[in-house]
Formats: sequence, structure tokens, C-alpha cells
Amino acid sequence: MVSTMKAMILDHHADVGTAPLQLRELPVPEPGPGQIRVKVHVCGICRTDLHVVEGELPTSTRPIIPGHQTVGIVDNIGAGVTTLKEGDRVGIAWLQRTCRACEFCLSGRENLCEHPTFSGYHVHGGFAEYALVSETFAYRIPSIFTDEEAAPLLCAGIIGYRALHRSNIQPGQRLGLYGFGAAAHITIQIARHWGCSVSVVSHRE
Amino acid sequence: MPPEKLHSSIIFAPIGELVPPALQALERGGTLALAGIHMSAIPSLDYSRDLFYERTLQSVTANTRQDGFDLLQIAADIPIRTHTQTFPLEEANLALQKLKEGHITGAGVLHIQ
Repeated sequence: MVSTMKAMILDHHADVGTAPLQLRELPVPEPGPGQIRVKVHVCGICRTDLHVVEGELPTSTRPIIPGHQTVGIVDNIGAGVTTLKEGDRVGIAWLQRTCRACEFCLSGRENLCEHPTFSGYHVHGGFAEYALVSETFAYRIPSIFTDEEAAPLLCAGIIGYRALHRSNIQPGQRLGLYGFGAAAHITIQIARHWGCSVSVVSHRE
Repeated sequence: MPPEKLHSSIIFAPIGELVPPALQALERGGTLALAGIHMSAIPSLDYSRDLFYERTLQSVTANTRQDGFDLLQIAADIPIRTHTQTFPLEEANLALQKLKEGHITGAGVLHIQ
């Protein structure tokens, strides 16, 4: 077993044009109780990563390895892990842990948790050869998708899907999308599947 | 702006200036969802022009695990095809720079191993 891994790590916020992410050799993390370690194959990039790097979000942990659309293979498990095993293909998304005690967690709204932990923001993410996650926050990746195809589903896909529901769109109705990046290119496929007509507004070069 | 009034809209771009015109493009009773984690300042809204007729402005914050499980299931069922542009891990800065400049088609993905 190798003891170090390559990672792109952020020490200080800066314009991404100044290359603030540094390639570094770091110790391979060991999974704690209830955690799995993922040998990372791919990690999607997202506008949130850009906000993290450039310091547009409230201050979080630094140095930090960004990345929250991670796909790979479980290569080690911590004590007490029962639902996943070495060799399983999984994804790690933005939501890394919730408190399970606040009124929002207790009412099925863990997205509003008062003390959440986010991948690549509070704890290291997937811009590295290995990453950790609790087994209960890992996603099994459907076999129909390659690693590369699956990665954008883990944030762009999920947030687009939630946004569709929060927009209250109903099958067959008219939907507008403003901006056409990773999330919109997935969201439009779901909306069309629901029989919606979709108008897209995007910037012109 | 869209040619017809819309029942619902989603703003993915982190540009607050889009909010008033996107509200104006809604049908009566429509909902505008803001999907980003960060957005530039939103201009002041005019009640009758932007919100009256029960138009709703709705932010979107992270997701539940159930959202994730449901999305992966529906993505496999449809099936959704994602278009990706790949970069080696070492080019993460370049990949994010291209994202910032709007030069990535579909989604950017870092290949690690």
C-alpha cells in the first residue's frame, strides 16, 4: 500500500488565473469508524469549487483539497462499516455529513442542517488520489454510467434535480433555464423527459 | 427573453441581475428557483412588475441524500447522457479557469487515475 498521494490543494484564496491550487504529495488518509476510503478515478469540477478557490463563500477550512463530484472504488473501510466493501464503485457528493440533531435534520430537511460538513470545503474532497466519506453519505453509481459520465451527476445533476422540484414545474409545462453549464445540460434532459418545453437563456460570446 | 410566459424557471448562472427579468418572464403563479450557492447582488424588485400575481422566488440549498438517490435512479432510467471535457488532475487550475470563462462544454472532469 502506498503511503502518499498526489493532491491539488488550496492554501490561500486567489483568482484562479494565478493557479492557487498546488500539486502536493500528502499522506493517504485512513478511514475512521464508519468511513470508507475511495481510490479516486475522476472528480468533476463545479462552479462551487471556483467559489471555494476564489474565496467567494464564507471562510472554511484551509488548506483544503476541493472537489465534491468524486467517483472511485472503495479500497479500505473503517470499523463498523457494513453496507459497502472493498471494490464497490461509489460517489462522494457535496453533503459529507449532517448533525442529525437539529430541527432540520429531524424533519427530513438535512440540506438545511445547522452544522453540515461539505466535501472539498470543510473536509478534503476529490482533487486527490484518495478521499474519505461516511458510508451513509456515499452513493452507489449505477453500472450504466462510466466514471466520467457519473461525476457531473453528483452535484450538477443532484442540484439541478432539486431545483426542478423547488421550481414546482409540472409535466408538460413551460420551463426556463438561465445559464447553460453542467447543471442545465442535465436538468434539460429530465425536463424534456417529463414532457416540458424548455427555453434556455445563455450569454453570447 | 423567452418568447412565451413560463410556468417555472431556474437560474443557474451566478448573476443577480437576471432575477428581475426572469420574474417578469413568469406566468401568473409561477416560480423562479435560484440554484447557485453564490450569486452577485440582486437589483431591487418592483412589487407589481416582478412579484404580484403570486409569483414565487425560491432559493435552492444543497440537497438531501434522498435527492441524490432519486437523481441517480432517474438518470439511469432516462438515461441521462452527460457531455464531459476532461483534464488531468495537475491541470485543475486550468480547468477551473476555463469554467470561469465559460469555455467548458457540458461538464469538466478531472482524471485522477
